[in-house]
Amino acid sequence: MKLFYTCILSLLLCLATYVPGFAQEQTADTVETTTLASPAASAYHLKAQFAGGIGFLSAGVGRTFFNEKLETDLFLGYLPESIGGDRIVTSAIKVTYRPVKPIQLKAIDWQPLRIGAQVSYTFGSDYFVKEPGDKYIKGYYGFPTALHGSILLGGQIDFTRINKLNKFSAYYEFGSSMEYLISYIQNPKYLSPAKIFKLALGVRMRL
Amino acid sequence: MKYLVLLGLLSLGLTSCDDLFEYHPNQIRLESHERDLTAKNLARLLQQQPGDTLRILVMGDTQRFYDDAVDFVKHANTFENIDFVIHQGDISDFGLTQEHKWVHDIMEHLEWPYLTVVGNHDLLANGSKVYQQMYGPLNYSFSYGHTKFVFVDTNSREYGFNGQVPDIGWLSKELYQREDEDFAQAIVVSHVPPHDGDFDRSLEDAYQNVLETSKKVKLSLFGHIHNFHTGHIYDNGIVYHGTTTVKKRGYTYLKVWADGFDIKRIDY
Repeated sequence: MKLFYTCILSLLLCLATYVPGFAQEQTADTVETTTLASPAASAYHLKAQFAGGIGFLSAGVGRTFFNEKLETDLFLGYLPESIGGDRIVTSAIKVTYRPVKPIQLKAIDWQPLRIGAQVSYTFGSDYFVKEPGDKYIKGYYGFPTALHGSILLGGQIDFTRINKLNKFSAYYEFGSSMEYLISYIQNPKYLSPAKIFKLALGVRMRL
Repeated sequence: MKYLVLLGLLSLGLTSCDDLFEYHPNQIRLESHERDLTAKNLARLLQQQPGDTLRILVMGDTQRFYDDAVDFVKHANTFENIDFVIHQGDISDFGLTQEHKWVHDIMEHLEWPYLTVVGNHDLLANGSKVYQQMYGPLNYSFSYGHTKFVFVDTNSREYGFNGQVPDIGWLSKELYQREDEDFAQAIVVSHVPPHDGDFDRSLEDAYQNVLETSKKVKLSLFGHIHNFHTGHIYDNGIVYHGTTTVKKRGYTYLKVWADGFDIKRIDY
């Protein structure tokens, strides 16, 4: 599993380093052929995120599909012990979808809703994907402690028509892990959406 | 104006959430009232004046069963003159801090102090650190009135049956009465019982031997099996009593006097 993640990470990092050159060329072309302020959209982007279950801070690379309706990211996050009580390194794959059109508000575009899912992997010997066979009989716990699936509900503000910021967006995302969601479904009296959904904030830069 | 409304709604949403930001499900971020709970509950307990008969409620395996735990607290609070409550472990299901915080949020509504023993689920992921920061040591003991209570980590499987859990050396020091101690009996509290497959087989005899030769142990309490079970497991006169999970909506009402005890199973 670690190898799998390392492979994906290296692949995406290669892509990310390759893409800027490509994107610049494309932008240059676009500037020549259009007089509009909005440059042609590159399919690739970088993200920086605060919280969201994958570290105090995390960095992501990703790309969009279908005219930015669908977006996938790969994140690497870090939580220092001074903040998290334990030092934790996490990677995550995130997919979000924009089911409704952005709303134009003067210089910005507001995407009022993005829905998505995330799977994160926590590095370290404390965590397992499958119960170690030398310790447990098969299916003893029946859930991985290194993997956390989450559902996401959020939105995004694109600074589309603000000079020098037109490549940037800011997003907010409420996410709940499957563990919390199952707990809520089974304990509707004590738990509530406010207890299980946690907020993440981030910025996105189109390449 | 629109932005202001939006900002207002957003901040309203933010303030209505508990622990709004989560950096990681395994983060260990605790408020001061969520730290060192064993020491705090013991301090509270030792301020009380124990009678000749101690009255103790024993429950456990709260895992993901918050609504049932809430109902337990309500039911437990209808009693009078309880000395303290014992949580038999598996406070959490996934070993996550948030689960421990939720359970504490429920248990702190008890009228009495509560003391916990660590369960195997509580040791998942970085759960051992969570438990120690939130509650305290994995093995601990205290005397209250005529009885000494010894809480011991018996979750051997979580340590890969390394021959060190349960800690027999520590247990014998606690159970063999020291000169400065005076207790009529000792009650050993663990999560996994010694005859369970999750208990280190290589330590089962030694564990038994310590309990028996101390001549102080008449009763040992455990959880883990999600059922009630009371009986003599070994031919040494010691009664082993397992308390069911709150999910099955049961707990134990235990009375302890200097040379005996009484166990009553309660459904709610």
